[in-house]
Amino acid sequence: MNFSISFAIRKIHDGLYTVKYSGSSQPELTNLFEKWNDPEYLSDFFEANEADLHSEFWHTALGQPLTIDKAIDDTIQQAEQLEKCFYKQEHESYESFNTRLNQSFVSLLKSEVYKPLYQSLNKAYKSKKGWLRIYALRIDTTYIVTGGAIKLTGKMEDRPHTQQQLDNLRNVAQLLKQNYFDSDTDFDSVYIEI
Amino acid sequence: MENNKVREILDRVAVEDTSFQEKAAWREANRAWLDRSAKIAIAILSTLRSNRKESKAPATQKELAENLGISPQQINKIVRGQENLTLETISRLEQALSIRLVEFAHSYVTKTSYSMVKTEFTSWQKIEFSISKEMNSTAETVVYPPEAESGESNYAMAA
Repeated sequence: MNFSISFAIRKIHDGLYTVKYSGSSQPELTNLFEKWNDPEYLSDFFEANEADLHSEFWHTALGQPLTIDKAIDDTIQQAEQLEKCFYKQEHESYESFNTRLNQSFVSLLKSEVYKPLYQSLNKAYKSKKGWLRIYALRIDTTYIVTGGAIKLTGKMEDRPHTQQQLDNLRNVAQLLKQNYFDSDTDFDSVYIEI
Repeated sequence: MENNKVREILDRVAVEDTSFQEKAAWREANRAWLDRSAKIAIAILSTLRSNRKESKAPATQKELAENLGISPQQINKIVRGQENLTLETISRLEQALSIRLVEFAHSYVTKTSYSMVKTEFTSWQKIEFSISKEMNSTAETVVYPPEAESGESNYAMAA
């Protein structure tokens, strides 16, 4: 099977890897936080997706209309929090770092399957105010970050840029299995949200 | 598959990369001014966006750069929140865009012809100002609020 992507693997820490796509100057994990700290990139993104900012969901969740300026400001603050999850302190042990990853990443499949239940029962879901996502493949307790997105809509399939993240997860898993792992290796698609 | 086996396979094909860790550490160390720089960038971008809708100038980074007589690359660095701006640059941006980019939480003591004009502080904390006389080069330090009575003025002047 042919895929339209090619990539290399970069090691960030023990147990944490990230993809570097061909054509990109930086590994995905580095690239994401560069973009999410760049007001110009964020301004262009939110201007292109302004209709999603004005959805009832965000108005209800935030208790006020979501403007482009506020969305940029909030994204930079959310990125600061999310970055801490992947940043390994100088004297932090591998166990502590890996435990944080294990506790932060959630299975994408399970969340999609149970989302209707969460939506009706889980108050935390209703009060969700963040839109940043980092996507990864998990094999046991090892993570390979494949990308991330600003997710303003309910489903990943709703917008091309989040659909692209789903495709990347599938294609990277498929290529890793073809080249390095057994076909029956269990790759779990996971994500971190804020 | 066992975790060790997984990492053994990945370590064979992966190159170590420190760019995330280094950039995250730099952002953390520079967070204070980066936050302010980002807020200034947001205000500039918002004004340019608004000007485009109203067909006003400057509406683009290029027009703003021309207005200020600096390079478009310099403006781009500013709107990406990566520039540690000087007060002079902030003032010129404010003038070019007809907006206020920096507001002070506390008001301040201003000096007009050597007389002090009292303005309001949000809390009675001791703040020291160094004010240079316009007529000579002697610097004075004004202590506010006063620690002792000083006649009609509410200010104690310390040499």
